[in-house]
Amino acid sequence: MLTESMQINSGHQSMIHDIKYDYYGDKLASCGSDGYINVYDVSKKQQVGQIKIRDSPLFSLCWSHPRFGNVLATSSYDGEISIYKEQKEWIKVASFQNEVSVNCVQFMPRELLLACGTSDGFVILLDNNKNWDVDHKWQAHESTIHGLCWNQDGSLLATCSADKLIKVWEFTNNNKPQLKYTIQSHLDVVKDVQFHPLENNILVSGGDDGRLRTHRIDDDNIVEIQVIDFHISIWRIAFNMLGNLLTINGENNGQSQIQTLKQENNFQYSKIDCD
Amino acid sequence: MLLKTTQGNMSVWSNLKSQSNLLVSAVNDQLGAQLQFNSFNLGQKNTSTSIIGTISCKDAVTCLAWENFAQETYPMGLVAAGTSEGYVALYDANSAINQEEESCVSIIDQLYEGPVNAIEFNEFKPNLIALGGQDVLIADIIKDIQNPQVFGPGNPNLHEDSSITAVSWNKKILHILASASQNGLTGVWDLRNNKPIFSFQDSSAISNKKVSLLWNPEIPTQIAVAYDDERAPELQIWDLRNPQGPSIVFSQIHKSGINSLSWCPNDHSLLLTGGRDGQVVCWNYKTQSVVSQEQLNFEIADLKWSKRVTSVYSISSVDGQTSIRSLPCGKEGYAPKWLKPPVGSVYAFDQMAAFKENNSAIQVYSINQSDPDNIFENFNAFCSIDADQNRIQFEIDKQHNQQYTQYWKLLNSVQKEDKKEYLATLGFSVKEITQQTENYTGKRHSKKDDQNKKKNQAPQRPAIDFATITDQDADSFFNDLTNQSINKQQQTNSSRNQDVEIFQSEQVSKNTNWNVGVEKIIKDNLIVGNYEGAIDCALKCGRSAEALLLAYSQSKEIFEQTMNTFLTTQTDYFLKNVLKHIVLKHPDEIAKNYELNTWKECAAMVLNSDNTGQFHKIMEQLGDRFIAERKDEFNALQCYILAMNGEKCIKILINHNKSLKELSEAIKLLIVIEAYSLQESELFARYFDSLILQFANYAIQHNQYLSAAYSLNFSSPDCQRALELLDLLYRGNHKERNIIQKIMDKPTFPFKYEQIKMGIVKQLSAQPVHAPNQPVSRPTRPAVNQHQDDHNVRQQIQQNQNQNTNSAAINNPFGPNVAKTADEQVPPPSKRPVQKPNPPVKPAPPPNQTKKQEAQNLQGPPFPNEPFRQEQQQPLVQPPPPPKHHMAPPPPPPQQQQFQSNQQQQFQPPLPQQPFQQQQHQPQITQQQQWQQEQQQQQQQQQQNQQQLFNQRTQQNPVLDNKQQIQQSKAVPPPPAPQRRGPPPPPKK
Repeated sequence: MLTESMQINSGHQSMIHDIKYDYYGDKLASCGSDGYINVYDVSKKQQVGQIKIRDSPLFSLCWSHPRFGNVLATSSYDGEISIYKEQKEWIKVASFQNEVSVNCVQFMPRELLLACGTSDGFVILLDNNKNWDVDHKWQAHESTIHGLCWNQDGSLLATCSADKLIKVWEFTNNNKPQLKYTIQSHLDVVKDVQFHPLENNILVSGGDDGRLRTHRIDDDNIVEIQVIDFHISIWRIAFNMLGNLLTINGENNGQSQIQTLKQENNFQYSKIDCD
Repeated sequence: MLLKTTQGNMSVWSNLKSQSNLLVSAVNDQLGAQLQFNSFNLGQKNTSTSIIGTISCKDAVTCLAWENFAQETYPMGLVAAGTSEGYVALYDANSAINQEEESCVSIIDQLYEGPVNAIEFNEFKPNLIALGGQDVLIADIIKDIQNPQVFGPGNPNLHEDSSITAVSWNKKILHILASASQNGLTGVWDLRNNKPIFSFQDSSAISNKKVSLLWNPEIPTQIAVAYDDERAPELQIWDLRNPQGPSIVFSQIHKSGINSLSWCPNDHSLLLTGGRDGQVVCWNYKTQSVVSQEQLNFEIADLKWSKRVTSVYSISSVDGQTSIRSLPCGKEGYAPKWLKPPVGSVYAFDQMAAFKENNSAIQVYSINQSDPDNIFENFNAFCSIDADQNRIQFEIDKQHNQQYTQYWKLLNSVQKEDKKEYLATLGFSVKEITQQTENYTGKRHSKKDDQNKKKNQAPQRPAIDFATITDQDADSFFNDLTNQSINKQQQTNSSRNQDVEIFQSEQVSKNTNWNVGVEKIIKDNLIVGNYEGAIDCALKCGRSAEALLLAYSQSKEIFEQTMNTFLTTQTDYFLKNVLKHIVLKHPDEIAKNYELNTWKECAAMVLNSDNTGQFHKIMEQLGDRFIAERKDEFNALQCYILAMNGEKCIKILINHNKSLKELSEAIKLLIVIEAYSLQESELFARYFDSLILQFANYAIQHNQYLSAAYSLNFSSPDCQRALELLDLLYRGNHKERNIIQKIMDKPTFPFKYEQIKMGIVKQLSAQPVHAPNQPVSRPTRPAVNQHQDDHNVRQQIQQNQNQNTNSAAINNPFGPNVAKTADEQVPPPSKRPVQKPNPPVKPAPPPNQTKKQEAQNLQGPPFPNEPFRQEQQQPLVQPPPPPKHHMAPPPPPPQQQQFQSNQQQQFQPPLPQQPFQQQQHQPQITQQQQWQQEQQQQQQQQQQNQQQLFNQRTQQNPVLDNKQQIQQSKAVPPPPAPQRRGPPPPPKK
């Protein structure tokens, strides 16, 4: 089903930590330990942009919705969250300096509200409408937040942490995030959470316990609908456009592993062979 | 960074997955020692730990270890404490935490005369405990924990005359042990062969102080050694493969002796050292650099990384304070491994990109298309056909499923609107039946086609055509009928109305002698001129033909009365329910009672006898009966297709989504049904959109982007999700983008543009930004800002008045803020435009062109270029807004008043769709803002279009004559051409 088609020379001097396609899949941005963001045009197969952000490693990046033009947000180990937009060059629009490492950033779908997860367990919301001032900052977890994800309609934000918990935050009338659920089924650090791209209430998570867990968030409780043990430390989970494919990335004893699954009935995923 | 503080001059971390936030610290004082189990929550702001268990020891604790061992017996493992008196105590951590009286499991005594300086469990075999005191010992607790086997590592003793300060098991090879002694000597033991295999002594560091030692957890030949030596406070890494000297030496940072050493269990590049100078230094031995350096105000006695809590370590001071800290972010920019994702992947359409650790190349994978049962191939072929009749023919030729073939044949007859076609589809051959009849009667019954048409067109035919039946024929015909009725009557025992009883009470008279019996009475009546009496008698005795002949000879009234009596008193089902209504010209009555099994006969008869334009209504009734009486959707759908009732069709087809195959068939049918449907229906549009979205999702999941785009092209312009998908498919980077761009027009960007604001970055503050008082509500947030939000949009519109490329998009009412509430607060829906050309009228244009036209109708005029890729902060000098089309957004309101009414508009229930009702509304809403009226005008225009369509159809097709009348009666005179800025049109009557 998956076949290797081409390789892109990332141009990074050291490890890559995150890659993201833009909305239309034309551009692929990557960031890494060298503090650069590189942007490639996938069709032209060439690098079309390079931004030196920090001297510190960049852990995460995120494209905005195209209705704002080409906008990228990124976060670094030394705690800077920065937002860039492409004019003739990439220019810095805003930045925020946090005390500790910021590990993950994601824009609310279709909006310029950036959620960021920090190493000391805080979630920071930066809001374009407040000229990128902090909208909210709260202690979401006891320790390092490794991943966060908005659901499609932006009503829920899931965060996962080294404290082994997943928390689901709901944004209700007073704009204030409220803890809706805590999921404590993982036995070890939870590294990533992802909402299903079509279903606002399907959430998958994975972490150091090697388990990929699928949860259904109902109005009054959370149901775990599938657990698969991969026996590797899961770092990243990615859905395809409509969620019928899901890839987990992990490592085991220094060996990177990638496994793709396909969606069956009722959001059950099953492994498929790929090259 | 300081997190928590507690007591103790040494500590050890839990290795439990489930209880990683547990630390045992040893608090020594004059009275002895206490082991404290500290639990902590890093999420809480206070810096104290909670002591959840304690163990009292009578002697000072000099070294500590904690390892999981025999999980069933010791669920939280064993804590081993070496003491100043030369024995080791083993404690059950679980019973200590549960405050049980005796948590001590074993005392291993008589080991040393002096203190136990070092203790470590073997990670592979935790029953093996390495001990360092006067010399190196190993205690094996596997057989008897209370009387463990104690033995030395072998001979000769490397550390003669010097006491041991550190022991360390190799982290990869379980039988290799290292030890270090005060004289600076490090030895490596092979316990399998019970002898030392390696030793080295750093010449510069000979003192009588502590040497710390740890194996590299990653590379089993490497060992780290740190010296508590003021003259040379060094951290060295030795590699046994290179015994001449240390491979790496870190020096110059610590000012005083290094007292403790910890190798990071979660990032093997990192080592932590603590010195008497109060410095805590994190080293990256791989890059040979300092990751972080922290100056504390006390002498450090002990320091340990947490085994499972990343970036956290404990530090104990010589004076008995223990703190829990986290690794500060270093200047060097080295991020610890637990924060750095080493792998990742991301999808876009039919590709996936992935990166792996230590590889600067990003691998792109392509994902295959899949097409189960060639569903998408067929769908694409179907959609690429330009005219509906050709699509129908395509399906009739290709379709394998009889059920669907039947639907398509019906659609074919609907499309051709030819009676013969209808009859053939229903299973009746005019030719065949005529032939049979001619064979039986020996007469020619077949009419010429033109004659037939003429009759159909004639509005008032005589009620009965007697010319085609002779008296004899009629007589025998009626006799037969009467006989049948009698038979039937005998079978059924139903009660009867008194009025009609007389006609059934007697047998048919066989008498040919008109001078006796009833015949005589009839004759007598005729003689005396009492014709009505004669008719009644004739009817009663079964001489129906005579009765009717008599009645006919009298007057129209008498004849009709007689015929009525005759028909209503029949018990024969066919006569009573079918023939009667054919004769009486009540085709709708036929459908009410017709045997459903043979509904096609009914349809055919209605088709033939109908001259009141009720065919479609009757078919709908039949379909309703199938649903109500039998839940038979197959036949109901056939009826609804003949009824050309899109709404009823889709109510059935909405459930045809159990499989991709079913869904694709339903979509294809609905594409054509929509074209021929007589009614505009909001429900149809909504249901159809939902099916289209389902199908498009399937198609995208199979990477069939063309199919998805084709199907989405048929969605209604109100369906925001469809517009978004279409935009995504048109502009997105996938294998079928070129094809889609070739055959479709560029869709409008379906989102509201917004400019990003500048934050606190000084060099860019001069950039033009929006006025700061422009809050824009987020989709999840409540609509408290709605007012201002709209205001924003309006401002933008005004700003961009002359911005041709952008204004349509900014005006777009389907921006995300609207999208969120679209379900609840639908503005008056603009009707689905009549987009399909009427096939028989226009010559079929080439496929591409048609496609484009449709797309244009659907999506409005395309942008001249891609505005969202433009620099948004360029000066905006643009041509005037594009002409209005059905998706046109509200025009810029000149006054605040209009803006308010627009607000109202948003919260109004949807306006009724019928033009009549709208007109009734209009006088009351003269104050309403322009754009609502515009929308009405649009609807009226569409009405007009629809009207034209009907006219075209009906002109061509006499069968449908009556529709025109119906439509005309409903139709509204077209409004004056709408003007964007003119005064509102006067209220209509």
